[in-house]
Amino acid sequence: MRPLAVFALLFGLAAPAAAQTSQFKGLAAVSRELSTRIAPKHAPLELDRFLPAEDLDVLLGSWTGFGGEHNFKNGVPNSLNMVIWHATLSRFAAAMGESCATPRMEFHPRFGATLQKVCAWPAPKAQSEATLTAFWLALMGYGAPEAEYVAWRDFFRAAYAGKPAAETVAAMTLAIAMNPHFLLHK
Amino acid sequence: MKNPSRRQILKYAALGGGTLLMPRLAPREARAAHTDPHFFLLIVLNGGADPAYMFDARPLSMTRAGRIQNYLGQEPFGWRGHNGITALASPLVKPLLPFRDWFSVLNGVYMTPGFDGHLQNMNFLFAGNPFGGESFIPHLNLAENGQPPASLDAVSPSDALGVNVDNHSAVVSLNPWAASALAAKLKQLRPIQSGDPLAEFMRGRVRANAEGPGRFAAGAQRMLHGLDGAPEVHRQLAKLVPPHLEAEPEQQTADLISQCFRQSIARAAIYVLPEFFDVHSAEQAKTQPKLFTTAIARLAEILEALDETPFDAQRSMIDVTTIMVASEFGRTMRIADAPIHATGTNHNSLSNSILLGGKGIRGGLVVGASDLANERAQASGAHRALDPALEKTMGTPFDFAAMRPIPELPDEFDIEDHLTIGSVINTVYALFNVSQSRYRSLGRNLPAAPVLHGLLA
Repeated sequence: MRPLAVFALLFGLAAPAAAQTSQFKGLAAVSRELSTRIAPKHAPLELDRFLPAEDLDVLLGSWTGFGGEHNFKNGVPNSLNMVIWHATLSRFAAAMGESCATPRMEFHPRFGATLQKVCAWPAPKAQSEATLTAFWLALMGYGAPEAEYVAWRDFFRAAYAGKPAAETVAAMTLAIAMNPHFLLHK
Repeated sequence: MKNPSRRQILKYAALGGGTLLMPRLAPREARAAHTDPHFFLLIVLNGGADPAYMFDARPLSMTRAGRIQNYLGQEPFGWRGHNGITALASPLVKPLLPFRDWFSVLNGVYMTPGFDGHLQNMNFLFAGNPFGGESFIPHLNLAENGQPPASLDAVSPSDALGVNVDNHSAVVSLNPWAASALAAKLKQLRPIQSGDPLAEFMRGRVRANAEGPGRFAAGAQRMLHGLDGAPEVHRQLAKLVPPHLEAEPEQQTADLISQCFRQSIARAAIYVLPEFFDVHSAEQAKTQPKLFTTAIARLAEILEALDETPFDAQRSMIDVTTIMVASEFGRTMRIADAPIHATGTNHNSLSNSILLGGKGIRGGLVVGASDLANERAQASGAHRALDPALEKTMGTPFDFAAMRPIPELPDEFDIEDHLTIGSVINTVYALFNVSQSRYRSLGRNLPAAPVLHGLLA
C-alpha cells in the first residue's frame, strides 16, 4: 500500500497545471464541427485551406504519439497560435462574406438558405431574431450560453447597422469563430 | 566563376549585402533592444544517446574484455580539459575540436532517481520531476530575472518532444519553412488591432469568459494573454527573412533561431536533432557510428553558423547565447547474455554527458566523470546497490568546491556527493538570474543542487 501512496503523492504533486486549463480543440476538430454544421456531406469543409501557411495546423493543437503515449500538443493558447487562429479564421470569415455574392465554398442547403437571409443585411429581415439565431447556431452550435449570443447580436445590430452585407457577414463569422466557446475544449 | 563559400556568403550577408542571414533588425537596433543580450539554446539528443560515442568513451581493451560494446572499433583519445582533467573521447567528436575552448564537457551526470523510462527522464531534465511539472525553459524568460521578457519563451525549430510540462504554452514549434511562409502571409494581413470595434468586441467576449474559476475560464485567460501579445508577435514574425533555399538545414535552423533572438520573439530555443538514439537491439546499436557522425556534424554546423551570424557589430550569436547539449540519459554498456559484438544497450540514468558552453560559461573544462573507466576498475558498493549487474557506468562522487571527481568507492549512495542534472539546471538558472526559490533541490528535505560556480565565466 505504501508504494502506491508514494506514487499517488508524487503523481498528485506533479499534476500538470495545463490539465487545469482548457486547451484549443485543434484545427481538425474545429474543421470537423464546422463541416458538420454548414457543409454538405459530400464536400466537407477543410479549414486547412485558410491557414496562412502549410503545416501550421500542428501549432493550433494536435495529437502526437510517443511510443504508447499520446499527447495533445500546442493546445494551450499563446500569442503565436492566437496570431495563426486569427489569420486563418479571418480568411475563412472573408470567404463567408464574399459568399453573399458568389459562393466561395459549398454549403449545406439549409445553411445556404440561412446565409442568404443574413446576406440581405442591413435589411430588417436580416437583423431579425430568427435569422440571427439561425446563423449563430449554425456556426457556434449549442455549446455557448445565451448571453454570448445576446452580446453578439446586440453588437452587430448597433455597430454594423449600416454596413454592407459582405463586411458584416465576415465580421459576424469571425466574432463567432474567435469566441472561446467555439475554440476551446470544455 | 567559382561559387562563393558559405563563409563568404555569411560575411556578405552580415555586411548587409544580402538577405540570407541578416534579419531586418539592424545590428544597431539589436543592440538597443537588448542591454545585456542573453539567450539559451538547448539541443536535445533524443532517445538516450550513449556518451561512449562522444565524450565518455572506454578503451577498446574493455570491449575485448566483453564489458562494453564499441561498434566504431577505434581507440578513443584523451580530451584534456584546461582544468587538468582528461576524458576519453570517441574519434567521432573530432568535428567539434574547433570549438573545444568554447564548451565544457560534463560527464557522470546523475539523472532521474528510480526511473529509467524516456518520458520520466525527459520530464526530469525539463522539470526536475519524473512525472512532469514546470519546465525550466520559461523560467529563463521571467521579468523578475531583470530582463524584459521576449514575446515567446522559446521557439523549437524541430519536431515536438515527448515531455509532460505545464508551462510550455509560450514554447512553440516553428520550423524555418513554416516560419517563412507564415511571415510572407502575415505581411499581407493586418494584426489584431486595438481600437478596432470588432477586435475590441472579440477581446471583450474573451475577457468576459476569463473571469471566475474553472478550467474554461483559465483557458480564456490564456487566450486573453495571447491576444494581448498577438499584435507584437504578428509584427515580429512578419519581419522574418526566409532562409536561403540552398542553405543546409542546420544553417536554416540557426538562422531562424538567430532572427527570433535578435527580434525578441523568443529568449530560448529548443532544437531536437532528428537522429533517434534509442538502440536496444544489436542491429540498432550497430548504427551508432553513423548516427553520431551525422549528429555531431549537425552540432558542428549549428555552432559554426551561430559563430558566423552577427548579433551586432561586435558580437556573433554565439557570444550572446548559452548552449546546452543534452540527452535524457546515457546507456548501459551492453545487455547481459548477448555477445559483445551483437548487443544493444538499455537506458542508464546513473550517468549522462552534457555539453555546456557559450555566454557565461567557462569553456574547455572537463567536469565530472563516470566510473568503470577500464576493465580492471572496481565498482563501489553504492554502484552495486543501484546496478547489481554492473551493466551501467555511474557518475563518481564529485567535489563541488574543487570541481573535480573524487576517486573514492563509497559503500552507500548519497546524492549530495554526486553531480546531478539539478546542478546543471541551477547553474543555468544562476546565469540567467533566476530566483533561488526556483532552484532544483536534490530531493525531498534535501538542499538545492549546488551551482557549478567553477563553470561560470
